[in-house]
Amino acid sequence: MEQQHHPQFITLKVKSFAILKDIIGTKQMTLQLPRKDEGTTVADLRTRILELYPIISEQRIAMGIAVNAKIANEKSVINDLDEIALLPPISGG
Amino acid sequence: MFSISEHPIDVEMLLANVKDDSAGASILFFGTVRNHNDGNAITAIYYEAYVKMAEEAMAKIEAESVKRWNLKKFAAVHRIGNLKIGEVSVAIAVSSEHRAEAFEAGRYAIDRIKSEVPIWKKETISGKGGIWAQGTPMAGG
Repeated sequence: MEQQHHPQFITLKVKSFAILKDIIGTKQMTLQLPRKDEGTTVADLRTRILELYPIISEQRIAMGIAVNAKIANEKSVINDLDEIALLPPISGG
Repeated sequence: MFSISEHPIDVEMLLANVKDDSAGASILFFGTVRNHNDGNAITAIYYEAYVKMAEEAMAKIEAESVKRWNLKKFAAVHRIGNLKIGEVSVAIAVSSEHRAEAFEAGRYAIDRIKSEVPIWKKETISGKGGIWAQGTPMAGG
């Protein structure tokens, strides 16, 4: 399938887990972010998520962001095909 | 080998998976659902995982454990879904030439699982309902 690239936005599939899934209300959503010439970054995504869901900051939930199943640096550039995941503090075991 | 399972964990099978004729020591660790936490009575725990990332994180922990402790074999499994009190939530088996490495590797692996593998638990607290447990923030890369 050919990917349609919007000139002004990147379109991301964003998974969320545990308490973040409860806050967002769905385990996967589609989110658009402005496409930047220098590349849209994880930091841009974080800013947008925290604007949309201020309760994440209010509850001081440390949110990790994974890109393609790896924890990403804030400066990492993200693109249309990337799989994004929002990860609250982990508690396995 | 590592797996995430919705089915009860068979710890004896896990131990069988690390059988090795060159090993002189094998250890099995398993964690079970406890009926209390932080002064609250717990009646059940629900576990959720980001399976793809958990498998990758575990493969790394396995490779590093095997290398660091010169293990013969390594096997681990984490359960997801609804668990009752006393059920096994996580299990690790390792085999090595001598006991010291096996004990240390088991401890090392469970500590890393708890701090690096994207799995979350929601405790059903008597009288309060389900509450996601406080956890360890995932380290930035």
